[in-house]
Amino acid sequence: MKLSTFFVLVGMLIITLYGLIEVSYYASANNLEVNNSDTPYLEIPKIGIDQAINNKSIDYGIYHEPKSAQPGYGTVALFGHRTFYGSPFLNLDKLQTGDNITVEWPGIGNVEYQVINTTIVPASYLLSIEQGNVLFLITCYPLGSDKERLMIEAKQVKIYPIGKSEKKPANDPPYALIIIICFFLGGTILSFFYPVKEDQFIIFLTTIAITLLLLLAYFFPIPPDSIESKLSWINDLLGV
Amino acid sequence: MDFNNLNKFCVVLIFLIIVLGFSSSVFAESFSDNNDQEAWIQENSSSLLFTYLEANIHVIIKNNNDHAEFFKISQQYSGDGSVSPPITWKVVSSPGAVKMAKNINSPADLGWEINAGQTRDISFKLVSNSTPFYIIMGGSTPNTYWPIINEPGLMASWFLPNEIDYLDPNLDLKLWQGRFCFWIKNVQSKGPRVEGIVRAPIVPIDSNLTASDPKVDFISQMNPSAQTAAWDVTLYPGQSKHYSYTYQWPIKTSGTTVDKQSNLQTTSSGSSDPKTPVSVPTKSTGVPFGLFVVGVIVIGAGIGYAKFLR
Repeated sequence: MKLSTFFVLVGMLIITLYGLIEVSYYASANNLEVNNSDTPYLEIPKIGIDQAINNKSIDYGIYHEPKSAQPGYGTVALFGHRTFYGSPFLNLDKLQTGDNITVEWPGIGNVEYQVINTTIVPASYLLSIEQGNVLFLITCYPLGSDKERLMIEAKQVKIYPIGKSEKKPANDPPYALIIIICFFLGGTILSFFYPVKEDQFIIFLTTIAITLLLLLAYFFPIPPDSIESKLSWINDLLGV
Repeated sequence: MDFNNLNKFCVVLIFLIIVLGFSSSVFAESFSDNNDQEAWIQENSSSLLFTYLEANIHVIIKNNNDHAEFFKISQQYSGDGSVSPPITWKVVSSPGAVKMAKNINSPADLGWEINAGQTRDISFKLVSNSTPFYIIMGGSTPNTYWPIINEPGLMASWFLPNEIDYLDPNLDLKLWQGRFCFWIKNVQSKGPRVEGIVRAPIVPIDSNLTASDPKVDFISQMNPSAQTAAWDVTLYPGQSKHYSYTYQWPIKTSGTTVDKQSNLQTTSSGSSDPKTPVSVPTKSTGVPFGLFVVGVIVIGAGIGYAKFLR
């Protein structure tokens, strides 16, 4: 086997770790049991967000900071991943002053907010949760880094009753399977066109192994935060 | 460049990937559960349960009546009867107490006789006799949309000094000191960790939290009838954690009669420590791309080397 083949295999392994996070996340999301009548939702039409808010973990989508208030009762803080984990806040930076945000909260109603400020703060920033009836949407900044935080501040405009239309579970494509297929196809194409003919079989074999690993993660999701913490550690170690 | 040993190395590497795959599945089977991915959990489906609750109470009570009165404690406190059973206390230590002739709840109530005009110092220790359990106030509506875990402070019916007053208005409560210990456990055997806020009552509203272990994260003012000590908890499947806290009422004791009404009507005077938090840290909300880019570059470098430099 050539040294170049070794590099290719190492690169494939690194990318596989990122693939594992997404496959585990989407595989878990497929099994999500949402009690629709009790579940709060965040709606931001401008950037296409209409997603459930959870109080379990930021790794399951949009997460309500439990120390902050419920809408209508004070400062609300919602966190969401900007990359991976479904990236609910991927386009948060596209919000502008005056844009509307609605939080549908059972027992309270539809609480409508209006964006008043966008701020970039260091990751060590401590968010005050005694700022009155405002909503903070917080995610990482810049894209692909966790060095800083992007904070969208919105003031409460009004509260009105929730209509009878019930939220239905999002009928998203099977992203986990799509990711696995992409890995398999990408690896197969790479092995087919790889310049070192005698090592093509090794790369194809590795592709099969990676596909198998991702399939296992699909059927038995691995807690993605454990992978994420290791990736962050390696990133910090490499200084990238 | 040929690396003959690399052939063997890569075979081992591929084998390791497969082994990793299987071990990951085993790990996942141990720590994950397809059915635990509820985004919003009803209280009855809580992952956390109280597995132990202990109360050490010390009160100083004066009998203002012109004849002897009994300060009584029950061994059962209310639950709503449908969602959760009542808390049944087992009195494990009650020096000087006697069995009451008549009781509200079974088993028998216990009491201490206080003569006319006498001020008596009373201590007793209770352990909840029914675990695991949820604590909820009798007749209250179960909160079905918020807690991932029990929030007892908002619905609890633990010992409240004013409950003592309800029992007998002739008994003038001079001092109340309570030390509560409890264990909570993530009863799920598998699945991801759970996070949430555990709350426990500090009553009456102007009591002073004098100690806590671990230190409370904040004191919640959400419940108008009681402040609640709150801990931000993270528990993995099967994990248990212990909490204890001590509070005292009134904030300062003196030899003079305490005006309970005025005290009870006073809002939080800020005497509690720590304070309600004014800030929270921002959470990590992104996976750094750096290593991903490194991976792509390494693959590109390998292909480039094989095609052009070999």
